[in-house]
Amino acid sequence: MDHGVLEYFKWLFYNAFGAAQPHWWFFAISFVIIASGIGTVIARNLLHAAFFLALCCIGVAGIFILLNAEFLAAVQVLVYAGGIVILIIFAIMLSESITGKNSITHNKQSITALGVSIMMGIVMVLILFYDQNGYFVGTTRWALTPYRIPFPTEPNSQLVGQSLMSTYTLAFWIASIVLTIAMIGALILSRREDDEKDETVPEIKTDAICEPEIREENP
Amino acid sequence: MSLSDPPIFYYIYLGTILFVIGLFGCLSRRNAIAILMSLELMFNACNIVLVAFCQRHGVTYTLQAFSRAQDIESPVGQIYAIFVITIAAAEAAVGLALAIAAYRHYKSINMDNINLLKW
Repeated sequence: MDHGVLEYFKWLFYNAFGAAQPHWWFFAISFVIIASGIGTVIARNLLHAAFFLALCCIGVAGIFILLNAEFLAAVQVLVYAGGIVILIIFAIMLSESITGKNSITHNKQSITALGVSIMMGIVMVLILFYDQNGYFVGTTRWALTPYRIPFPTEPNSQLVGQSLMSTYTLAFWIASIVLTIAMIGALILSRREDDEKDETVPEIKTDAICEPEIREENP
Repeated sequence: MSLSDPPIFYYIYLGTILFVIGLFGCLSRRNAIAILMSLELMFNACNIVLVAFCQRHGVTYTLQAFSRAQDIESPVGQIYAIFVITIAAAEAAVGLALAIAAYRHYKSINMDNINLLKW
């Protein structure tokens, strides 16, 4: 089937906003995800960016629930919003304090970067919706499957667990080894040498409050 | 299964938009930790598309790839997404340790200042 791109966009608009198929949950969660993603990218305060990232990860967990992947949604909330974002907040607080009003958070190539990423997105969509002969396949069966093939009709956490323990056991073990190696590597990388004097961290006295001005006098 | 189950290209567009946002953040941020956060956005976009394709087409493709019945009933995309999350956790740990080490050495984590290998 070869449709014109304009007709395709009309059809897409009707599918999205027509009265026939209201996918309100999907659009609400997508709005949260995209808005918080943009907030993560353009927020000046890094702590705000980290909180936006947590919101975005929770929204992605909602998308997983829409896709009947409950175990993955739980893992997403636990690992991303619980682990990685907390780790990022710790790293932000350990490094320089960027509260954001005067600090320049984006480099000079921002406009070029915006153009490049939008073109990258267009190329990805074109690769997905055109086959190797140049025909438009965005309205064929693979994109249009409106309902799930009735295989995992139930919440399939049990199936995921059984697959992890039976079919994909080797990958599971390798992932655990990779995690151990990453933990040891992170410890070694962030360890301070004994003979090296650390000048970035000021001496914290027990009574006095550590002023942030001390940090700027040192370098 | 309800009638309001959106077709798969919605998820593809959502993943593409999220990937584009993350790519823009990776290219335009100055702070190393902000670049890591944009990387997490891109991982999330990949996970969305993986799980969507698993839900819609996972059965047919695993039917072609495997022969045993217990292999047919394998949620391949979700397993892939779990391993992507695992690798993302390891990447975040190592990357943030690198950022802390770079901050300790350069007294800043702006990527403009870390230009030793830049020509």
